[in-house]
Amino acid sequence: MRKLLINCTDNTDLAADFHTENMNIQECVGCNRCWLQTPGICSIHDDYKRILQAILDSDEIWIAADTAFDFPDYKAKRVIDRLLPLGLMYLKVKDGEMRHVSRYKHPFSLGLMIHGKVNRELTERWLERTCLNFDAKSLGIRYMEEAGC
Amino acid sequence: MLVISAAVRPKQKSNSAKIAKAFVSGFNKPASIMYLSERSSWNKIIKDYQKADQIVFVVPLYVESVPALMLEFLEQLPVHDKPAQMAFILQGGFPEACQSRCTEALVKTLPSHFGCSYGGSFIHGDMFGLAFMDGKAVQSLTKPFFQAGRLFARTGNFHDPAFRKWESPERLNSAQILMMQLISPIQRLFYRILSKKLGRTRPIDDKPLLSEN
Repeated sequence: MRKLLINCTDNTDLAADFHTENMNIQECVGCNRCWLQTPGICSIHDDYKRILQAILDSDEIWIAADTAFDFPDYKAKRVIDRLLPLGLMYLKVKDGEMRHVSRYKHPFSLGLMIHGKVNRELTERWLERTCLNFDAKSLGIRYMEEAGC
Repeated sequence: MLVISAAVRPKQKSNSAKIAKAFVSGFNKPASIMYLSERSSWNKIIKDYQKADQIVFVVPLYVESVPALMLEFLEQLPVHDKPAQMAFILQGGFPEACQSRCTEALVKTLPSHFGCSYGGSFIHGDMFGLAFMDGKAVQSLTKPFFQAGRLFARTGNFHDPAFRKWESPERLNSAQILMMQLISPIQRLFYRILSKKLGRTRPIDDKPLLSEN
């Protein structure tokens, strides 16, 4: 089991594989180039490529997130928005809904470590649906405070 | 009314920008459109937000929710000075409204953080093709937003059930699902042709990061 922890919080004491505070991670611009023009490769050439590679090399991925509006904040959302190269332009129907087909046959699990407070029901629902898009399994959310982080 | 396009794409290439334009055109009363993709204008957007009593966000679907850019902007947005309303137009590439319900659940909670009331959401998908269209084709595809703008001018919010007839269907029915499955090979061929036209040099289902292992 290869675990990966991506720390998107301001808490620099958390031992993580990546701490995005010290990295250049820009937001997904929705250009669709990773689907249509440069398949699997994001058009933004920043430090995110290292994260995407590490995700493909891991089975259990945790993203540590600060919060705003009772939801993971923009820094964590930015990391998730950039997962798009893991999908293909191709569509399929899964459980009666349209989905993109995964680019890699790489089953992984994804969880959120929350630094702050979130609307638990909404955040877990969002994580579940996010996982559906990448054929991933949701590990749910954990509060860092409760986990002693 | 202030309409804020929450798209990250520059406005010339943005579906949300086209949708905002159609909505304002149907609204046909004084309204301005501003774009979060233009970060240098965020201070101006915040000033105009304080002057507006109706704020409508046009939100593209980004991994089951609003784009990170919108969350970042909202962190800088102060509580509104006076009673105002926030409403949301949720759009995306998938054809079903159910794909935007999770986004809707989040945006419903946002206005109260700014002392605003919630003016409802209008959900319309199947917008992927809009990026590749111009002229009359844009007008045709954005017609539901034009109609929604016209109705919004009368109702002042999206709560009225009359908006639902312009929204996408909640889910595909079994005949539509069967059709999607039948046309899937044609759709894939279309994407391959489209991507080749756009300058693709490798297979569309390439696995470039796997080969680096």
